Amino acid sequence: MTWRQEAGTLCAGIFLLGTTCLAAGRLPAVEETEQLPGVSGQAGGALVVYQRAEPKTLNPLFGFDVSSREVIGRLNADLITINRKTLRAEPALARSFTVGGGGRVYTVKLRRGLKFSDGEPFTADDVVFSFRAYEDGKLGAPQRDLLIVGGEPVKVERVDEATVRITLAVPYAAAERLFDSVAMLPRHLLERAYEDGSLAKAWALTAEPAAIAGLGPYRLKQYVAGEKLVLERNPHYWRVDARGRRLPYLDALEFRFAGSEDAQVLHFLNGDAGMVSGMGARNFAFLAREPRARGAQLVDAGPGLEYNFLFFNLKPQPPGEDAERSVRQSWFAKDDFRRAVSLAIDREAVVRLVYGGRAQPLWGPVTPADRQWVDAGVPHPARSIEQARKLLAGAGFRWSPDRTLVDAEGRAVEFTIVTSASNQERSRMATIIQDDLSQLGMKVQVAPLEFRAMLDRVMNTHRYDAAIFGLASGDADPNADMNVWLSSGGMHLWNAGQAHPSTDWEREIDQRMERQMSERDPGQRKRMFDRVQELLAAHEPVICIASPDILAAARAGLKNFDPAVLQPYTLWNVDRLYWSEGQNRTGASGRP
Amino acid sequence: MAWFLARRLAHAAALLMAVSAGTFALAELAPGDYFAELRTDPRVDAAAVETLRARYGLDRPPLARYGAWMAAAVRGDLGVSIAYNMPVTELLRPRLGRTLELAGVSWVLSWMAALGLAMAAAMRPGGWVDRGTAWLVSALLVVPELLLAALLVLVAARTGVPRLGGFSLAVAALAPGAAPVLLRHARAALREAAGAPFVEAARARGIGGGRLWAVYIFPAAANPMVSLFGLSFAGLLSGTLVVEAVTGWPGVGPLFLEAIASRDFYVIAAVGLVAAALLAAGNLAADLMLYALDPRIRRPR
Repeated sequence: MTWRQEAGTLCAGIFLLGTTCLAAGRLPAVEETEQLPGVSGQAGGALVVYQRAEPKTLNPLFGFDVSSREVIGRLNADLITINRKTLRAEPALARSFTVGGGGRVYTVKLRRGLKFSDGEPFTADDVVFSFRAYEDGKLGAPQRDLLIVGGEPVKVERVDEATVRITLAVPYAAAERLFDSVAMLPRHLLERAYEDGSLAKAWALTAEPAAIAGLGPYRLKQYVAGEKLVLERNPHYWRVDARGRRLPYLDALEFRFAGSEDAQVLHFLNGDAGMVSGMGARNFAFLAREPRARGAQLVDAGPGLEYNFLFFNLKPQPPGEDAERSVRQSWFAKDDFRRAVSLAIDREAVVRLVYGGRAQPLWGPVTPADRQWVDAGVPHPARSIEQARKLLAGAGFRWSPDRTLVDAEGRAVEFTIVTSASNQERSRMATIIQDDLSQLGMKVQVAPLEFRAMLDRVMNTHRYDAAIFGLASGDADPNADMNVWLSSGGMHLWNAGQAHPSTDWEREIDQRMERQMSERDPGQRKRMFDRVQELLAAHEPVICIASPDILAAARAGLKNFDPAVLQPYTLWNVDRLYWSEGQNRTGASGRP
Repeated sequence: MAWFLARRLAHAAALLMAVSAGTFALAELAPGDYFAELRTDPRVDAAAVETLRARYGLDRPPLARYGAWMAAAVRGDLGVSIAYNMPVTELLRPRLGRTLELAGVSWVLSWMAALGLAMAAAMRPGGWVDRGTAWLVSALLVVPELLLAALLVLVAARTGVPRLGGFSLAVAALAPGAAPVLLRHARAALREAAGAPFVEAARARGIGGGRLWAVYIFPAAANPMVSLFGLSFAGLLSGTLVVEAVTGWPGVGPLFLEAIASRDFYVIAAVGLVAAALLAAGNLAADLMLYALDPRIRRPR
């Protein structure tokens, strides 16, 4: 073949390829994978994980519970994700994104050439469809609230096959974080169900594996009711390691259901499980001293984002409802009363006795794990019964001869703390607080209630004096807790759903939170949220007590095991986990 | 026979109605509902929770919900699980199979053990087997199934035998709980039959050994044991739910406990109904066997 013939053949080939692509209306299928620098391992093997409860669904729109979310997160992927180690938002299915229009318009460039786990291409149409489903009020997906900004759902438009434009009604700081855990859905599989109104029933646990496809590292292989759920490697996953090999390394991920934390730990100890996460300090200490767990990786990732706190019921009682509670509420409403309670609580003792030292004492709702947002200026006053007594005396309280604290009218200060009976840590915390407050002359009863019964009292009937609660934010950003700090919020626990802020400091918190939500300068946002934290520390509507450490364990041979402080604590990097050479590569037999 | 069967079926239907209404009422009286926990997520608005509550009819009055559920249950539709968002029948089918397997094997084993030991004890009253079984029965009667299951889990966790979450662990926890009552009744029935005048007469005619026990004593003692047949299976089933939850056997038990904790109303009501139906079926089977075996029951009054 002469050079003329070769050139002619090449030109014809290029012409043919070009016309074929144009005819198909698509760009050449170059796969824009994400390469993870520094990640290198060996492929093969399986990992068995025991969950506390069975997942309830595989439908990303309706997976509320932790177990379902843990599985759904391995089957699917988001446009933008929060890196569980740095807590910063990073592009995932999005190759990049730009923010314009005064912080209202996000232009998201998708990675080209990606495929769902069933081999079908992922395009901007899937993104538009996914947002349409999440934002549909009739479907009622809980994520819908995340996607309502300034009272309107975010508007998602297709620009081209690999670009979408997301427009917000008003500027929203760090809006990209909203897209974490909003899994992209396959339009080719779910659009019909959406149109005929059966999307809520789609992807139940009993669905055929072929009917489910996602963009996560794994895809469904088998479900055995009540027993196990097996995922297999997604051959089209879009991340590759430092050497360009497609992730994940593990061939299979098997979820089994233990029923309790103790059972999870026993299965790990017996060699049935490759890892265990979300452990309490008691079980962590047990594993640490158990000879059979010798060699296992026991990791204390430090305090998480969960904050446990005591709060008083400040919700005004309907007239004539409960006169005695109204009297008690008049004490609780005094800032100095709450400050005195806070000063009397021995947080160090709580950390030591309840969490075996694996927790951090707290004086505000932002834990040390949230390095970007925690306000170092929030005071950490040492426990002082003497100081607490002075505050109470200044607020009109006094002590009867038998050392009982009484109010100005001579009524003994006596109230009940409700807590969840199923949470041993909080029940023990309540007992310690009961003892601490007895040193101030307060008579405190502790009432451990069944979890939902407690929620009913706190959130519906408001028939309680004080409660111990714990909240773990789904994100490190303060916007995630708007519902807690705004006086109109349903989770403004001490006095929820106020028509108008009932105190000046709540009004200021409302203003600061609203302003930081739309402020684009991170420095300004930080200053505003610092002020909110200072107001909370000064008035103590929630008396923060402790933040437990994130504790996890894995078998010795499991590499890249790196628990994070944001859920999912241990499986966030499942695509990078691998078994080292010479290890039993099933994770389902042998000792840790 | 038809009248006898019709009466028994009517009793069973009334029992099912009463149990289902009672279960529904108890579940309803417990504070909170399935979506209460979702409300504690700061990122979820109360309006979204209300939409979800409405989807499952939780915004309707309890009586209306019970009526609609019962009407559907008669047609074999036990409602939709709020947690799993799938029909309760689909949820129950594989788990019920495992529960019946566990209860069935434990039932057979407990009957075999009870009958064997009762025969040995009744043949030589006051002998070492009799005294030994009396001691064993007392010991097993005072140990609740829950405690026995927990102890076995501890052993399994320490030694790896039997396997945690395995079938043998669940059977080992369940069968010993059912056997003592059966053993005690079987021994008493056999002793009573062994002392009957017709047995004395048979002995006087020189009949003894295995023939005396197989042909004379055992058939005469069968009547009270048959009554226990159905009841013991139903009793075992109720114990199964708790034992399953403790030992990790994936039957109805863990699902039922989880449903109670999360207020998955239709699962609670359905499990109550199915358990009552199995109890009624056990009783009915025992009644029919007695009807076949005992001519006094067949005789019109």
